[in-house]
Amino acid sequence: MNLEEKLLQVTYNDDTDSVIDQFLNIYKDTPADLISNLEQRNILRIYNRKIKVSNIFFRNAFMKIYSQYFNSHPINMRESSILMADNLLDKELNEDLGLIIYPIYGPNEGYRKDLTEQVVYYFKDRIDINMPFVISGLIDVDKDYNLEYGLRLFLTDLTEVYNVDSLCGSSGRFSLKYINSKTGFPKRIGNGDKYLSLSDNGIRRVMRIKDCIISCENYNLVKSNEFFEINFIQENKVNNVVHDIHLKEIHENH
Amino acid sequence: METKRYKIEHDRENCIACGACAVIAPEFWVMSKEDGKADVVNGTKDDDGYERLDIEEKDFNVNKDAADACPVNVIHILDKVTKKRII
Repeated sequence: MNLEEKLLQVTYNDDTDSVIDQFLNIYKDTPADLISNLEQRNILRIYNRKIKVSNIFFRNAFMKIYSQYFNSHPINMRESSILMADNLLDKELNEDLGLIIYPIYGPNEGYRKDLTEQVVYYFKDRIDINMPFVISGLIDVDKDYNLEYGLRLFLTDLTEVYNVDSLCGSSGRFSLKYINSKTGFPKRIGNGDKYLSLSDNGIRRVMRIKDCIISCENYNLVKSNEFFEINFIQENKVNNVVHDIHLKEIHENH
Repeated sequence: METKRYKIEHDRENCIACGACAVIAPEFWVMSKEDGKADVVNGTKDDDGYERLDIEEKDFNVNKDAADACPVNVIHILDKVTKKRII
């Protein structure tokens, strides 16, 4: 099955509302809740019932809960780049795809230190923490008031962590012909009609911006708005009937 | 001598600091060392929170590209002759 056939955008209904409820139990009253614009359920609902807000915490907490119900996983950097190359993603929207951790002190230092320690523990010699590395895939979220936003990020079995050579250089243009299929990032910077925007310190959000930019600059982990979307990849494509039955079962079990 | 027909308006408060404009048009956009947001190079910082800069026609396209790429649509360009907002 082609990747495009597995692409799944979640829309709101009574059952996704229950997922939102579970997420808000984690998120409510944390500093992230107070800073971001996700705290009001109405904001989550208003965009034609399509999820069009996200930040790194909402995305991961929502995906964790949602993935427990449906056989799907959050789209990762690699999959997003493939779909971007095939013009299959919404050209007007953006998506959080993970985090980049630079090996230099900077914004979100508490998170940088904590996640680096987790990477050292779980990945040992497989990741060079003296180079920038990307954390994509599913990251767990739970309350922890010792951290700036009151939420801690935990690596899971579904978290992908890897170094990317091109993140050590400068921002610039690239061509989708030179995307590394293992990372979703360009192998080289130079010519092309796409752009890679890089920083050099702290923790930054990795974002696909519209259909032309991979940004590794934004250090505000909580701000978001209606210009963001969340996509899933279905592990095994389910038709609407199966999907609806599953939703019904969930509803009945709650 | 070419007149500065266009005006860039940057709603800086709502900038999300993604760096898109700075990578597309580095002569006109730079990322602030203080708060990480984009700044218009040599732009005014006005009381309404906007940054503004008049630009020549030859610089329109690159800034239009930057505005088109902005993920949250906080970069606008005005045509001072027609008084219309192009983006």
